[in-house]
Amino acid sequence: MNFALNIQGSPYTSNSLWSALNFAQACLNEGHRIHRVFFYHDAVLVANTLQAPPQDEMNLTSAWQILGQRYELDLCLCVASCLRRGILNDSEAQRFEKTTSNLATGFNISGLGQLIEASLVSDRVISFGA
Amino acid sequence: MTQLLFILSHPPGSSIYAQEAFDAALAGSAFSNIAILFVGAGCLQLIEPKLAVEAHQRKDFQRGFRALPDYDVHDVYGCEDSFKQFGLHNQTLVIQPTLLTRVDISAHLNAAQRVLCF
Repeated sequence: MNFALNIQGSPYTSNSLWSALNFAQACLNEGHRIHRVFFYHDAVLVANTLQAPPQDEMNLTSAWQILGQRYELDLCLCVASCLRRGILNDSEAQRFEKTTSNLATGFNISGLGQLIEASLVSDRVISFGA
Repeated sequence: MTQLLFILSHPPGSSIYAQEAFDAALAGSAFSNIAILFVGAGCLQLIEPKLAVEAHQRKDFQRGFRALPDYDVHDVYGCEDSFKQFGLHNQTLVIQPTLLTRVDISAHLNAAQRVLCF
C-alpha cells in the first residue's frame, strides 16, 4: 500500500513526530511505500539544523534524516509554516535578508499543494495531529 | 463525490492551528472536490470572532468561511453533539453548517475518498 503522512505536532510538546517515525518505520519494514511525508504546523520545527539536544536524548531530526536517506523519502515542509517559525533554506534566507539559513539536510520546503497531491495519489493519508 | 474531507477540531484562539488548517482546506479546494467538517472545539471557529479578534489582535481568518462558495466548497458540516456541548445553537455564527449526527458523520467518513484530520 502507498501511504502519505501528514505530521503536525511540535517536536518537544507533542508525540506526533515520534509516533509518525515509528509508523513510517513499520510501514517500510512491511514492504509498503510512503509517497510523501508532509510536515505542517509546528512539525516543521524538526527540520531546524541548529537544534543541539543532549547526546543521551532522542534526536528526532537525525532520526528522520536517517530514515529519509535510507528509503529515499520525500520529507516535505510547508513553506508558510516554515516562514512563520523561522525554518529557512538558502533562497528564503536570501529573500528575507536573514543572516543564516537553518534547513537541515534531507528536508525540502514546498507548498500545501504537495500535501493535497500526496493525499490524492496515495491509498491512505495518515494524520498525526498536534 | 467528496475526494478530500477536512476535519477541523482545533479552537480558533489558543493557537494558529485552526488558521493553518483552514489554509490547507483552501489549498485542497483548488485541486479537488472537498468537504469540511467542524468537530469538538473546532466548532468554536464558527462563532463570529469580532470581539476576540480585536482583543487579541489576531487575524480574522474566519471571514474566509463566507467565501467558501467562491472556492466551490458547498459541503460544510458541523457535529450536532459538539454544537450542543458548546451551546452554539443560540450564537451568532459566521456561517451555518449543515449539522450532522454521529451516524451521519460515520457515513460521510466512509463515503469520502480521503480524510485529513487537523
